[in-house]
Amino acid sequence: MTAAGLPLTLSAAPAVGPTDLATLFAELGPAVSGYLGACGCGAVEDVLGEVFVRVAKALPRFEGSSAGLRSWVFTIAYRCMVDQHRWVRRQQRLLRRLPGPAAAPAPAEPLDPELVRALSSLTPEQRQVITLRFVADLSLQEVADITGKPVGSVKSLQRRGLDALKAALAPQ
Amino acid sequence: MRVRGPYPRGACRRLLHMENLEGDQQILDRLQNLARQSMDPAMATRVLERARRRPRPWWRSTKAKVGAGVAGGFFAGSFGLASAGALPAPVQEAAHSTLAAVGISVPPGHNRYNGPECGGTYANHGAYVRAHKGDPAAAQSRCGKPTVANSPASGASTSPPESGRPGKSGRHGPPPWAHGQGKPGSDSTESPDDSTEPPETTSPGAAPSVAPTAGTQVNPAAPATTTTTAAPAPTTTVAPPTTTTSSSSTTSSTTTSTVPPTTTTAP
Repeated sequence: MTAAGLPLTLSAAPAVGPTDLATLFAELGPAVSGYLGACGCGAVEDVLGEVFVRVAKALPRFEGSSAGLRSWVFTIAYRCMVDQHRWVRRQQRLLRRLPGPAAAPAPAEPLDPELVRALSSLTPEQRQVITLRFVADLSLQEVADITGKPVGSVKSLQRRGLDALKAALAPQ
Repeated sequence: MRVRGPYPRGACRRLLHMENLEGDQQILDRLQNLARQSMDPAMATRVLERARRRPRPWWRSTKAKVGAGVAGGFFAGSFGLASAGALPAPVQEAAHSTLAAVGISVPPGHNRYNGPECGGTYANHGAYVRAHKGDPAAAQSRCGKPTVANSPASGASTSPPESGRPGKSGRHGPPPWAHGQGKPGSDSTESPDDSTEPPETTSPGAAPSVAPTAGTQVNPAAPATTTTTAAPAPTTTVAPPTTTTSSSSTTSSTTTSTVPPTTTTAP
């Protein structure tokens, strides 16, 4: 998937209209949703909504090309997902202290359950790099910028992640 | 001679082929398919509705309200304490100078003597002495010392004494009657030790003090204290917010009462 076909010139737009946001959502919503699902996010709809709330809020200030817009949206998605993971961890710590059974939300059935299960067997860093690189379709440099790692480390994590994924998906 | 690089040959080979994704095409296709999945239209509508919703203005957020309340309470409390003169002296002095710039008068903190002979304004006496190291009389000077005991309101003169020691109404040294200068209270011009404190009520064994002199400052906020001694003839005393004492040497009983400024008729 490429961002070349994104029919938006948002840097010149003074404000985000409903059409702009709808177009952006139609273009990037499935990719962000797939990225969140591949990362093992339990509440995909909540996080997706939070991502696009932040996008709609900050879109008037965005300056850059369509490729930059795609990277920017996935940066927001990455941060929202990190927030979500922290929130889930806090809730789990709290629920461990409280009496009664822990009521965890049931995750939605992913499109490719076997692949998502194999992804969950990777280390968190490898999974982040693999999903950002191939599900979100970002370049090595963009993944390095989002995760705050050097490009060499991203390459290494990508290689090891792919090898581990291949091993996990291999027929037993 | 063979030159070896910093990395082993195997590691170099792995680095060279790190980006070679030819053998992983099947996994990559499956990964990319995750991003092409169709979304549930109901979910897409809900997400879009949520994103289009007008964000709540910042001033309606709870954090902003709590922050504004805390800041307002802090400023109100600080202003109240400064108005009451209850802040620590340096802070009170800072509040005095700061609020004076905007036309609000609050009591000062340290009121230091910085007369014309001091040649400047000094934070305290030590600063004055340090600034005049060559002057042997600097230590005896009043410059930079608090003027509480020597303020005009306490009835003493503002000029420094010749000896540099506090005068009769000063706070230092023994009381005046310790040197045989007369009985306590015999000098009608003697003022109480601290004019800012509320006047003390008379006790039966102590010599009663007289009405305050012209130079005596009485705190108007303090309640007026009227000491009324039973006298043979009824006297009517109009008590302003000052100390009024009427006494009789022949009486044996003394009553002390604290009343607000009013007219009291004592039989």
